[in-house]
Amino acid sequence: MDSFAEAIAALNDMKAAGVVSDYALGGAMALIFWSEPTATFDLDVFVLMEQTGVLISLEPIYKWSRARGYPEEDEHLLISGLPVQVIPAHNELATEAVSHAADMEYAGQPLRVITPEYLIAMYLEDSARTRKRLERVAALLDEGNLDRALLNDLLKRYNLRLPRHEDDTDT
Amino acid sequence: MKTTPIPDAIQTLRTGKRELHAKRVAMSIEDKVRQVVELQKVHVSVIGRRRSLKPLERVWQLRKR
Repeated sequence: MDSFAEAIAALNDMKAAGVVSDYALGGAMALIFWSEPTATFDLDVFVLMEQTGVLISLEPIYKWSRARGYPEEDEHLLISGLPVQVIPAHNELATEAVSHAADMEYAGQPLRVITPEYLIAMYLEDSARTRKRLERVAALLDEGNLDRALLNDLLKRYNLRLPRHEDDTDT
Repeated sequence: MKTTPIPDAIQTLRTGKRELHAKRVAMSIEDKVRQVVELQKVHVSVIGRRRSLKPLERVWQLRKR
């Protein structure tokens, strides 16, 4: 088992231990499941967890992580040497993305991965809409294996717009 | 000296590029992760000459146990 598989195994353990109710790989490492590999240095992991009060506390994750001896570096946990950023699903779209994640596998380890339609929608949110992410949107659109009906539905429900030259999904 | 692109040659190059992209998309996920590490090495080498690397910009050690 290599370090990436170990990191995935740890995420599965975190879910099995009830620290989170579900997780899904997002960001550039999710992208490589649907498109070409791209340079990235960390794993973005979106999680669903119990909310007590107005704020979501990451304390259960840090407690679990410290009990397993994972070092922390800024906002990342270092799991088998790989920087992992655990991000609570912060809105309805992210929650839906995690709930509808695809069941995939890496080196025998099962893992949940955000699907391309949801990745596109999340990249198009105002808070995430950077040039780099719009390039990722273009890469995913180029693959042509998208569920266009789902993508259109997400764009409509979450009031999102594709970059202008790609804004042809209704046709 | 002015040169004129040869349409067939350009078309061949474009086709080749499309095929390369398609091959990269179709790689196994294990191979793609290895490619990510190769891209990290390139990034660290090239960007590291232009500016200081951020703490997280380091090549993953995908060691096997």
